[in-house]
Amino acid sequence: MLRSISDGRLQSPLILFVDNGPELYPGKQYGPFSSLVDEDSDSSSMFLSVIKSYVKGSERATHVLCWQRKTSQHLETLQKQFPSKLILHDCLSDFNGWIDQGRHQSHLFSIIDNSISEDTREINIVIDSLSNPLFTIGFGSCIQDLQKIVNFGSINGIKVHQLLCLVNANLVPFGPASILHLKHIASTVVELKCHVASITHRKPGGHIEKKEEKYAILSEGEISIEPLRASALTEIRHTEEKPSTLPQDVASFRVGLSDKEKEDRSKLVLPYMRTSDTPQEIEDGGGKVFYQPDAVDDWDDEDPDDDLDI
Amino acid sequence: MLYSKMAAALIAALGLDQPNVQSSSFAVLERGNADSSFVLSCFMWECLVGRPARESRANGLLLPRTSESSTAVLLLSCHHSSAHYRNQTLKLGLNLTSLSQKGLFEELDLMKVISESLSAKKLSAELVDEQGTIAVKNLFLSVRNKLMKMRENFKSVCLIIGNINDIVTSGVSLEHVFIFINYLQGLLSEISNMSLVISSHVTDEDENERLLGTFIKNSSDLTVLVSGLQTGLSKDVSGCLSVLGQSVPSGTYHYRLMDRQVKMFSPGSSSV
Repeated sequence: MLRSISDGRLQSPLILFVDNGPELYPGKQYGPFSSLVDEDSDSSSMFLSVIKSYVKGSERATHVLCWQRKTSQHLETLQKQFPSKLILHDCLSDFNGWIDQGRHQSHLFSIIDNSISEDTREINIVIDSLSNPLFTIGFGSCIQDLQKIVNFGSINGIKVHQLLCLVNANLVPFGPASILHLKHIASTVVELKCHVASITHRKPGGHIEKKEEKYAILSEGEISIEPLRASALTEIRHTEEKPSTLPQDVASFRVGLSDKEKEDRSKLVLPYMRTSDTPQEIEDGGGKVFYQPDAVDDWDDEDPDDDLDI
Repeated sequence: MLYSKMAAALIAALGLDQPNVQSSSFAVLERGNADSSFVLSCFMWECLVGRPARESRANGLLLPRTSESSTAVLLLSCHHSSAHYRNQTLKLGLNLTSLSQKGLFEELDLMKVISESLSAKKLSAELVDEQGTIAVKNLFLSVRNKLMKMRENFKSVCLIIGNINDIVTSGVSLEHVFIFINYLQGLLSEISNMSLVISSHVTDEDENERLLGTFIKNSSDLTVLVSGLQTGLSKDVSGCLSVLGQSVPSGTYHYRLMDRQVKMFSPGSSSV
């Protein structure tokens, strides 16, 4: 199904990609930080790869709202190849009209208005990071605009065939409830975690289709997709739920011993260790008390319980 | 150069000593009791001393030519005073006072600017919000003008913001700080050869700080995470430093802050 999304063949008005990468600071979890953030950047790279393929496959013009600087950098070359099919909108430079009052944008999609020609019938819209406008424009305003696209297929008189957006689950106002709200509006939800895309697609008739696919970003920036086996999925979930708590992962010194050190330790004879016990003595069982009096000990041979009538 | 080893280990870990540095936006996040101001000082050292010296050597010059190869630095300090950075960089062999006379270094006390804007009158909650927008907008325009003037005289400019989370604490809403960061990111496209370094403190308990940290990290090319040791305190290791980015290999290091040097090593090899 991920392939049909990237080729622009899936009929769905709003496709929401949810980046379920680990939190910035995983609280009580331990483990190397590097592995956590690689996962995070992987989701946005995957989304960019999907967009590249989407632009090539779609017949309509695709307007990309760039809320991340790296998005415009990545898509610049593609825009030169397909200037009529890919239109990039820089939402970082002056969205609020601080530099030039005339460039002030009142809502999420108003930046597109000026670039639409009269003969344009339908367009596709991509938002590279919905988390950013959810804060800077306002959660309510953004939700209203998304709902208009899902319900009426248009916004401000512009017909929108499909809207694709990526949201970071750890960067939304009002916590996890916002993500649930967004998922409720979307007709297709793609949850990304550990190189696995869990896709839930709601068909117009009310049927729900669920699939899980494994993806990888190839060196050329293309995406490889393959269906996921149930056993592999269990293995992935098991791995992600078990954070490392081993002392050697968090200690600032070496915790273990080398083979040489272990060998030396086994050869070490500790003081007061009795090595003369014969096997027969060991087999007899029972306990023995070995006491070696000091030279200054006041040794008394008498039985201390002699005066008792036992 | 006498002081070449002072911050070189950290600069190398961030990949800033490479001929073609691909990163222009950096996030420096500090967690718990860790203090990341030494990382900002190392950035200043790199901009004002390290990079010009390397470029001059590459061009066969013994001494760097100030205007042609230098990077001017604008520091917006929040948590630490500018005197703190002056003292810290002095230990790395960098005299910010003399550099500011040459126009290579400028500083702005961010907290002073924000608090003056917000406490000018007795304001209602709505007006504080409105005033917060105006304060952040005016701050951005002032920073933009300063950077553009600096860029006219020097080859490149670097904007460094220390502990931006303090602005949220002073009463400016998180949304306005996000817009401010968006505009700073937009400046990277507007002003050529500009780099941006933003540091923030993050705690698990404070939701605003967590969101701000995630926002800065997402908008940056490279993230430096400074935290204390999870096992407690050590006389050999000051803390843990992780570098995360696509242009340099991600990795976790331990660091030790010495009087005039930052030492970095792989975890577990502090005694080597």
